[in-house]
Order: sequence, then C-alpha cells, then structure tokens
Amino acid sequence: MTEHAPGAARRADVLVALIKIIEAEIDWDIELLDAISRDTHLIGDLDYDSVAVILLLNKIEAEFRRPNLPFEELLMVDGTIVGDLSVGEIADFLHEHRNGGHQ
Amino acid sequence: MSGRALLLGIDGATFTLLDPFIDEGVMPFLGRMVADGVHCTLASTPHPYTPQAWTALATGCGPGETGIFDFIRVELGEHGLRYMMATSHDLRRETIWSIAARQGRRAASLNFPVSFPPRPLDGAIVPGFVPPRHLRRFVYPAGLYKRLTELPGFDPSELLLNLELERTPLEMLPADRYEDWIRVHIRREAQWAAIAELLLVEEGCDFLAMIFDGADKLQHLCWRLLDPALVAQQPTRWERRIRALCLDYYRALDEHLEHLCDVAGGDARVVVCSDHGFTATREIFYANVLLAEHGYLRFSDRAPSDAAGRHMIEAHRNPAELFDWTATKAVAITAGSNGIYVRRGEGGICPASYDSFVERLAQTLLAYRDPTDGGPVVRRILFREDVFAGAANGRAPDLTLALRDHGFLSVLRSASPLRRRPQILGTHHPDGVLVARGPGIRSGARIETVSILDVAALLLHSLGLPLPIDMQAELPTEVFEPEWLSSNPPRPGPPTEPPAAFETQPPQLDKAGETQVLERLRALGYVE
Repeated sequence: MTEHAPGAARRADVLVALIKIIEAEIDWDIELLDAISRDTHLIGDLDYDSVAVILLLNKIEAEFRRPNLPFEELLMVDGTIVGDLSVGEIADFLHEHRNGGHQ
Repeated sequence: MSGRALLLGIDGATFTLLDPFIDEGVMPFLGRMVADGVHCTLASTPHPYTPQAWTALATGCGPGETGIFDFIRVELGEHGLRYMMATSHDLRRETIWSIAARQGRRAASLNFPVSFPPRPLDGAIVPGFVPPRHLRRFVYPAGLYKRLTELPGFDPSELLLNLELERTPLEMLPADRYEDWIRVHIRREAQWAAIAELLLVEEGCDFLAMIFDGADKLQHLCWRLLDPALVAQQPTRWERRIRALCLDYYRALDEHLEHLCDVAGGDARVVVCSDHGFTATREIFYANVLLAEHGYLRFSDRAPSDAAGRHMIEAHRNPAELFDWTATKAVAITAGSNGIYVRRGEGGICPASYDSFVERLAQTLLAYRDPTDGGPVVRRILFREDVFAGAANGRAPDLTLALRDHGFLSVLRSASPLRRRPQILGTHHPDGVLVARGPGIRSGARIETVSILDVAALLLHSLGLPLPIDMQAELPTEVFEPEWLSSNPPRPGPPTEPPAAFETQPPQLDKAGETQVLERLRALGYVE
C-alpha cells in the first residue's frame, strides 16, 4: 500500500527528530562512518550500551513530551527481549503511537 | 547563623562495625566526632534500600512522595512490563541542595543515586550510580568535568558504576579477586574525597552532600569477616589478609572524613550518616518460585533455573523474558526492592478484585514455611498504601517483603523457594547511623533514634534556612544544645519547588532545526 504524501512527510519529520535525539545522546567516542539512517542499529552501529538505550528512551519521552510511551512493545517481541533496535523501528513505533494511541 | 553544612554519607554504615572500629583505633576521627558530638541510630525507610533511603534523606520525604522505589522504574500493566532506569525526572520532590541553592547557599551533591540528568542549581552535581562513559554529560556545570579530569588519579572507570565490575554478582566473586575488588573501592573513595575538596575549596560551596558507597559493597561481600560476632576465632591466612584490607578501607575513609571536616572549617556543622545498617543473611528466598507454585505467575520455558544463589539476571538487564505474561498476575521484578508487583488492567487484576487478591497473596507469602526448621520466612508484609502513602506512589510495589533474615529476595527460577547460602553474606538492616558535630550541637550525647527523613531538616536548619512546610521531615531538636536552639529556633518556610518548576533545560535537539521540527510534530499530534 502506497502511503499518502502527507503521511510520508510525517514519518520523515519523526525520523529527523529522532536522529537528532540519538546523535545528541552519544557522549562516547565513536567514529561514524555513515550518517545515521533508518537502518542504523543502536548497539551494533552506534555502540549504545544497555544503559544508554534506557536513557535514550527516557530522552525520547521527554523530548516528545509523551511520558507513557509503551516501549515494552518495542523491546519485547514474542516474549523475548530484542537484541538491538534500529532507528527505523523506533521511528515507526513513534509514528504508530502518535496522538497518544496505537494507530 | 553562619557556617557550612556538610553531609558525609557512608552507605550501609552501622554501629555494629563502627563501635569496634573506633575502639580498636581503626577510625579515630569518627571516634572523636562521637565524643564531641551527638550520635544515634538512624531509622531507614520502611524497606532499607539505597535508592529509597538516600532520596528520602535528600528530600525529607518518604518514597511515596519522592516516587523513587528502586534504581529501576517499574510499571506492570496491560502492555506488560515497563523497565526503565530511574532518573532525576522521576524524583518528584525537591532536594535539599536545590532548596539551599535557591536561598543563596552554594550547594553541591556528589554520588547520589537518581541525580542524573542534573538539575541546574547554583553549585555542582556529580551524579553517582551511572556508567563512566556518561559522566561527562551528567556533570553539572559542564565546565566542571574538565577540572575533574585534572585531579590527580582521576579515573571515571573506577569512580562510577562500572558495569563490568558490578556485573559479577558479589556472591559469585572468586576468592582471588577480592583484593583487587577492595582496592578499587579504596581508590574510588579517594577520588570522591578529592572532588569534594575541590568543590569546598575552589567553588566555595556552603553545603556539600556526598556519599561514600564502598562500605556497602564491602559489607555485602565481606560481612562474615567484619562482624565481630562472625569473625572466626582462627581465621585462615586468606581471611586475615582480606579483613586487614577491609580495615585499610575504613582507615582511609576515616582520613577522608577528617580531611573534609578540616577543609570545611571549624564552624561547619557536619553530619555523618548512613542510609541503612547491615546484618548477616544466610539464605535466599526465591519469591517467584513460590508465586509460581500458587498460580500467581508462570515462568517462561526459557527461564533458567538458578543454582548459584543469585538474585537477578545480570545487572540492568530486563527480566521480562523470564515470565509468561499470559499467565502472570503478580511477580517480583527487582531483587533490591523486595517488591511484588500486581498486574492491572487487561490480563491482570481488575480494581474490584484488587483488595481480596492482594490479601490472598500476602497470606500465601506469610504462610510459607522453611522445610528444614518449619519457621516463617516472610517476617512481615508491607502494603503499598501503608508504607508508601503519598502523591507519587503509583509505581511502588504493591507488596514489599521483610524477610526473617533481612535478606533480598531473588526473582529467578530455582528448584525450591528457599536455599541456604554457601557462605554468609551481608544484607541491609533498618538501623543506620547518625553522628553530628558542630556549633550548637550537643557534645558527647547519645540520643534516641532519629528518622532518616529528619536529616534534611537537620541540614537545612544547620544552614540557617527555614524548613519547608510541605516537607515531611521534622527537626530532631535533641541534636542541639537547648540554649542554642532557643536562640536559633526552627522557622517554617515556603513549600518546596514542584518538579515542573525545575525541570532540566529545554529539549536539546539541534538548535537550528529544533523549533521548526517540534512545532510541526506538535501540530500533527506527535508531541504533546
């Protein structure tokens, strides 16, 4: 299904904002060979540790001013803790939970 | 009233050890403080646990008002388990260093839990209990970090929570690693003392609050080598060596206390205190195993069975995958909190059934008996509404267990609900310590037990500041000389600042694009 242009623009805005947050959270030494994109993984590509992931999710809640985002949906799939998260997965999650509900 | 106030916290300090250390000349300065000042038992929070207790001390309010029950923020609802690190955003009451700074006292806070991200104030914050790689970002003000790096021996990997160091459960630390582990804590305290001195001397702080947390770590691991009641009459060579190294830790700590008091000056009022005491634990209670036996939860097929006496899966890792959430209505999530969380909403317990469910659950836990001696293992159940009453108790555990040996429960699966430990370890006890000395403070007095909440009032009054009317703390008047107190009576003051008033700096997206992006997202409903 082709997404309407306005919807695509909204997803793009979320992605831009999210990437800026992720970049701002990186306070450790890392050489980024490529720009952060949807396919970038927090742990595998950006060397986030488990604490940094949690702090990032806290920051996302603060920046989007949405204190009760159900991140457990993102972090657990079929009863298993997800090993790594991509920027795109987080962006899609935020898009799905706009307006305070699951869209 | 002039002069500084100094809070020198020693995590887990207990007179069980301090008294013999003073008598044996291991901690002579602390002995002089006791002789020249006031000392007493300091009653911890209802569950004597570091994040609850230190934040209660720092705010003068109980956990039901601070909203801090653990290092982890736990919520169990229809979506399952939310497991996030507790940060300063979750602390719903104002700290005493913030209160002091707002009223013209330059203040500093060092190594307190839940103090990151730092909230701006006239002073400095170096948070504790964070991984070293994040220190630079969380030191306040930003320029302070560079000055810390210039301190001799500065090493963030030893100063702060080192996940590799902390990852090995203490009960599994091999004997040949004890010495290095203890030496790390000796070096760590030296670093914190140097930072404190820098802030007192070069920043001119009027109020400094800090925690030396190595004592807690040493006592968890080495309690059997430290408690006079447990020390072997004929220790092995290894036991003598490790005990001697532990005493080196306490000697060095005593020297840090003395040096910082000297730096603060003779007109400073100094409080040395702990968040809780310590005692021995000989068994481990696998609470979730009991809950599973009674149908309150189901372990997932992947949940391993513990045979090593561990409390949690490795540090900071989400335990959610241990459980089958389709069949779990009550569960212990974090070991340190000793808390049982009841699942609400869809898949959980409805409001109408909550009271009877919780009562039945409490009876199940209290009824459990040690198969060996027939005694009850759960000494007492603390209900949320009773011990965590307050405006911020939404994330408190529904039940908190007080075990017969004061131990921490295990959240893991095991062959049976109760196992004997292969060796005695240390665990938290409700009775901590308070020692205070300075102008106007009584000399050579042992007084009745003081509540940990009341330390906040003691420190604010020591700075000549009024006591906020919304603070639960009360001034422990017995600390002071009656004549001095009559000339310097406590004054009620305006309420503390609500959390919204001191939220950290505005969202820190790239400044060039921030407003435009956020405005667009706000209009589309992504941002509230």
